[in-house]
Amino acid sequence: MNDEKPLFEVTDLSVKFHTRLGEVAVLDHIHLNVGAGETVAVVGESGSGKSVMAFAALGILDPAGKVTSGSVRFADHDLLTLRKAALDDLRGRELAMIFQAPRTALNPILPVGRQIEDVLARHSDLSRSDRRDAAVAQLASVKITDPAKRYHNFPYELSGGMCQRVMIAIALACKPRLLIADEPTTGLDVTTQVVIMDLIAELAAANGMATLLITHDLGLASDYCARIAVMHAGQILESASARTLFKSPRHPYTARLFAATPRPGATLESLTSIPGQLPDLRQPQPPCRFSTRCERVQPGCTEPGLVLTPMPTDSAHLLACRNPL
Amino acid sequence: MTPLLSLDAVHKRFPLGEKPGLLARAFGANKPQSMLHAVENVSFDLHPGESIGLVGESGCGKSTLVRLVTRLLDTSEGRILFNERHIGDVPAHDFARHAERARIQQVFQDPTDSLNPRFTAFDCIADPLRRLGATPLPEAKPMSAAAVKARVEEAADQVSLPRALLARYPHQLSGGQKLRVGIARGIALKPQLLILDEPTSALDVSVQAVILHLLAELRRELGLSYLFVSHDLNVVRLLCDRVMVMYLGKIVESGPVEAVFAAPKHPYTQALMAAVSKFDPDSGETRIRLTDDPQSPIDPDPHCCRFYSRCYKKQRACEQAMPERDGKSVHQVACFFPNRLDEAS
Repeated sequence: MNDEKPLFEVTDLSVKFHTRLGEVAVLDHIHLNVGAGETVAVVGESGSGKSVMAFAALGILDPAGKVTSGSVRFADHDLLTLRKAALDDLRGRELAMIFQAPRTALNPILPVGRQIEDVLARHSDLSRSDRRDAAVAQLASVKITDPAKRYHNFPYELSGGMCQRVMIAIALACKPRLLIADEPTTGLDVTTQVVIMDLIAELAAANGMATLLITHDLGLASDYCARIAVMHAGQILESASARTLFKSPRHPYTARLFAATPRPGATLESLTSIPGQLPDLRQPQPPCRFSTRCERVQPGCTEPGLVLTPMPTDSAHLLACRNPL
Repeated sequence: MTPLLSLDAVHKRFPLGEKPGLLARAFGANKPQSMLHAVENVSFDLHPGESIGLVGESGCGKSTLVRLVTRLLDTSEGRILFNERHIGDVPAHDFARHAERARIQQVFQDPTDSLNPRFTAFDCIADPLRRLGATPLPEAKPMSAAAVKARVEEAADQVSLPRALLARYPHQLSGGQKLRVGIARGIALKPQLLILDEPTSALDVSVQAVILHLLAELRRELGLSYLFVSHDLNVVRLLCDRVMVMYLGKIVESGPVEAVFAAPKHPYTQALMAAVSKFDPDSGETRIRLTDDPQSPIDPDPHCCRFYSRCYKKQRACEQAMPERDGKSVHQVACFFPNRLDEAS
């Protein structure tokens, strides 16, 4: 990491949800940076709080969720304290998000072209007909064939891959500086998945856009992101360049995650599962929420004050573990 | 060795729209009805104890093929032999009472949707036993309640589902536990063939690893044959002996897992393999990408390769005749130019 301030900075972010069954500490003191033009992945199992982090940062958290500590900074703005009008100016223009499940995220009763126009109507002073041309150009930029015709299509008339392209077209309509992509390829065929990821990477490189990829797929993260943060039960346990993380993971959970993922060259014998399951976050948690599942746990692990700290040898490699590998 | 399951030139076509009415036909408007070719000319043998992986993108006909094998759908053409008996001729609605019904079982894709929410885990597993379970021949009487209970508990033990969970309803179980219930239901009748339809796609990697080990173990211990449908090639490689790659209703490549993975020959298989992550940030291999959408499966041109529109090495010959797999070799490919790998650019 260099000295200049990162574009997007999550500092000490904690989120709690109030439920019938008590308070659930979904995020626990999260730290995450994304530099300008950088590609970063947040990897974790379902329920680890990846999406909640994105929602909290964009101010679209479910009403039951409350930010209890920390800040989210984007360029010169503090997103958590920004007035709603200022936030509305930012979101969709400088800060965009691709949501999970494009078919449900798109408006089912509006032609897809109009949905792209909506963003332009809010954030640009283009005339009606210019907006329309821009929407068609935007559809073409995500490599939809025959964009002028597709402009009039409704989401149900398009395939899953096409809907995802439309989502990308909407998110990138105003050339944002940061794109948060929440599981952008889940549910798509593998061949479509790589085409969509290539497209995001290509457009990001062309516009100098930073990308925060939220995924459960380690392979996808390693293929497309320079840096990976590993999340477990609302905590970031390790963060390093993809190369470092793959060559020498230091956190036991990261190593376990790699060992549990079927990948080329692995055999069934070498595939080991992660013992236990995600902890019940309604209960008070130890400082390291992985410690109940960890085979390297030691008495010191229960002491408070565990923070994500840079490794002495590599300041870009952050780790929150008292007994690393 | 006689195969357990043998498909010979199986086709499935679905008619689309309404049949032309009497008047239309009388006045000579004899435009044939549109047909969706879901499965076309599929032949393969599955031997006892063997595990075959079936891969392909959504909409390629994997599920239709599975339904033909489980006899939930009738074939349009072709023969299906199971234990050397023609089961393809039995109408689907009669197959529920057929003797082979109990020998072919399936684990369904979504562990939640495939369990009856008003059945406890015990009832889910017991259901096939109550319907199809029978004492050994010649009596062949329905199983007694005690026998059903004993078998359910045995099946639960085999899939490492704690017996205490048998009294629970699906919504009280985790995803991994629900899948175990689904697998226990699949093996309760001691089938010979278990069809697994994307069993682990809804699970996290940590749970997936346990289930993959369980499936490998069950196959070894019970001598099951698997037809394993998946889109995750890395999973198929771990669990299967052979793999079949399906594209728009046709098997375009088949062979031993190692051979196909080491040197995929069909351009579609190559694109599939290229899409699989190498889990190595340094691997700078060039990837083959599929642009455009697949061709329509409705009334396809019988003399043009199904993959033609997306193929990177299409030639004149590919739109003049349909390539078929040659039946002799172990590693079969339905492509006219399987060996011209380097002409990709």
